Amino acid sequence: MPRALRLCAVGLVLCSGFLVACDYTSSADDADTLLADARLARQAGDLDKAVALLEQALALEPGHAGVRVELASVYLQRAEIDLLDIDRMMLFLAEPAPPPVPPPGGSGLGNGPGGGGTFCPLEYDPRATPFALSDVEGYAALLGEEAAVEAALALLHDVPPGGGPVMPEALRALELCTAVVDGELTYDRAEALAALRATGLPDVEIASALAVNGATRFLDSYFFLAEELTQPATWYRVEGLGLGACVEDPLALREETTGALADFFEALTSLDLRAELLGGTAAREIVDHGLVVYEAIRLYLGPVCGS
Amino acid sequence: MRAHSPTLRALRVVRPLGMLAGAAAHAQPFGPLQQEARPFVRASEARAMGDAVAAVPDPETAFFYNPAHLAYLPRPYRVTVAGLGAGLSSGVSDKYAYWREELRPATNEGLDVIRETDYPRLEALYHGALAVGRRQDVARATAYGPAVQARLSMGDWDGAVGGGLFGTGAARLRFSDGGAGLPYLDAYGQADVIVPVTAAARIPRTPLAFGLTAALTHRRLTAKGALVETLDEDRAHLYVLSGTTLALDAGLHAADVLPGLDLGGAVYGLLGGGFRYRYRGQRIDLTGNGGDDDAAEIEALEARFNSRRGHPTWRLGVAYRVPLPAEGTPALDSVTLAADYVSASTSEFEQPIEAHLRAGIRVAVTRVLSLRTGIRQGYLSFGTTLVVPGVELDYAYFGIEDGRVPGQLGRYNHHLRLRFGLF
Repeated sequence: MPRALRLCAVGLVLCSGFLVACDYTSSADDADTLLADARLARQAGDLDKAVALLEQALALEPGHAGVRVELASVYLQRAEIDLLDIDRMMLFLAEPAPPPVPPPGGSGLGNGPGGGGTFCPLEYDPRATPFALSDVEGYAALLGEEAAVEAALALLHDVPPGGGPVMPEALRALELCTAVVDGELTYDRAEALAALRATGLPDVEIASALAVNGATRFLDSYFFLAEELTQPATWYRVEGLGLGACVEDPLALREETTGALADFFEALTSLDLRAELLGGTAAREIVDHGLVVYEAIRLYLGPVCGS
Repeated sequence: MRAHSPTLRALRVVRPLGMLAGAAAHAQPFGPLQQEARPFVRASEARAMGDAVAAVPDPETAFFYNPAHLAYLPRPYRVTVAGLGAGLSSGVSDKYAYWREELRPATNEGLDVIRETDYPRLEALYHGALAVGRRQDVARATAYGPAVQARLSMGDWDGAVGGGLFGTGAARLRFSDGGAGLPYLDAYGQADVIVPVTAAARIPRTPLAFGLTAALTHRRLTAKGALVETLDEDRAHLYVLSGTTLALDAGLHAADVLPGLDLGGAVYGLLGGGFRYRYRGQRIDLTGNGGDDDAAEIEALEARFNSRRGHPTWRLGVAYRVPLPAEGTPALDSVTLAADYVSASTSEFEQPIEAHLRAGIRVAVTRVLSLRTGIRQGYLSFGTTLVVPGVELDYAYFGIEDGRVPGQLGRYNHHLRLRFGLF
């Protein structure tokens, strides 16, 4: 038996040495392996580790589209932001206005205060009910994660050295006045999809990237409208019309919100292209709701169009 | 008979084992539950022992682990009449409950309807999918049909032949984040009917035994990969593809290379083993609502399943039979230590060397009861076998690495097996 034990001990020592030597082989030193490890860390529920691995991969290969999409997606997951939040916010914006409430004394004026000293018809419209963009459920938590939204956006839109951004320009409106025609988004779907496929991402990851882009673009524009306007605005739900806003200087508001409207449009085109790629009714319905909201706020925001 | 020094004997044995390994030097590792994975029935004995069995002769491991083991059949014949085995990884029950109680009713009702009428339920449904399902879980069932193993002798040659009928099926399910928090369903199912025929013999005047197994396999498989939001109650089908193959495995075993030290090795899929999958009109209707076939999904499945081909894989092992004193250990029949290197990956990733190492101990307490334990990819395993006349009962608990390196994404499993026959 002592001889057997000696053999066992030698075997154990050899095995240990072998395993230690093998540790070197298992260390990840290329972006693809780090990406695979990050996905596994995500499956294991360790989001911080996934972020660390992806940031390491990004440092090694800044133009790696798969790494950028995955990292953007993990940033959102860690911030507990998902597409259902966007869907819920769209549904909130598309909520119908409550039935008109006759004002006390029957003056016939609107039921909310105006946004400034100038005349705003919505203030006196009995069909208009004021609301705040921050009234949507979970808004404070979402706003608290604005940095994650910005970081995810940067990953999808920054131009890495020697490469191009993950998200193509084709998703943005060339001209906001003709961005939606007869209830249809006007953008070059084929060109946008071709540009995304040119990054080398498989369709499943393209769909993921589009979801992240749609969510972050929408939140970015929403936060801007809710928090960053330079003049106070009062938002109204107007029965039969949708949404409206009262401000002191409507033309300045239009100018100020052109970028946010373009972002909103890009959110819609991203979700639209994603729905095109995936099929299914649920993916399409988010876009349909978004279009209703877009057309409603378009009356008050962005450039003045038409005659 | 010529006497051989232990060193010479070792060299004579290691050389053919090395050549056997060299035959599969270009082997591409592949994971379990992949369409190109080699058909085999996992032995409880191997699972409990950390999967280190290549050099530990056992009739149980002769058909699917090392054909040469059959040459050491300890009795004139061995018969399995019938049996059943079932295995579950630890998260299967949660996933099944989620599917039965939440996802299936919701898919039946229509996710778009729920979105309009009960938004909190939709959110809970999606969050639940990601919480319950982000790790892969596997359920497995095996049916043991008749199997016979019998010793044969021809002149100086002693050996054995055997054959059997096996059916084994497994299902895997997980949900991943399909982008911005929307769950992506990844389901895979595979069922094999395998008829292996094995012949093995000891080479006279050497410590070597060799064996060959030819196995005919009919495999059916199905998969579903889709974002949960795109599941359509009228088109929620699992399309079943099928294929048949004949594969040849070869094994070698060398006993007492050094006193008590055995070596073993096997190459799987040395010849044959490739499947060509086709959809032949079979499908599983998940919601019972009927509906037409989705031609695009079927085409994508055929392309996916035929895109990769299996390649030979191999294992090499060493075992040491601990010498027990002739007196003083009446409760112990034998103690064996073993270690294997297995070329196949246990996941969809190429794994580093340490993920291919196995180690285990078998303690035969008596001829009725065996205990086994081991380490496989860093995960503990253990199990026991109880044999009484006509009945054999096995239990194994073991871990498997589903990730790239050990410790990344481990999955623990239980496996229970009951068989009837003459063991």
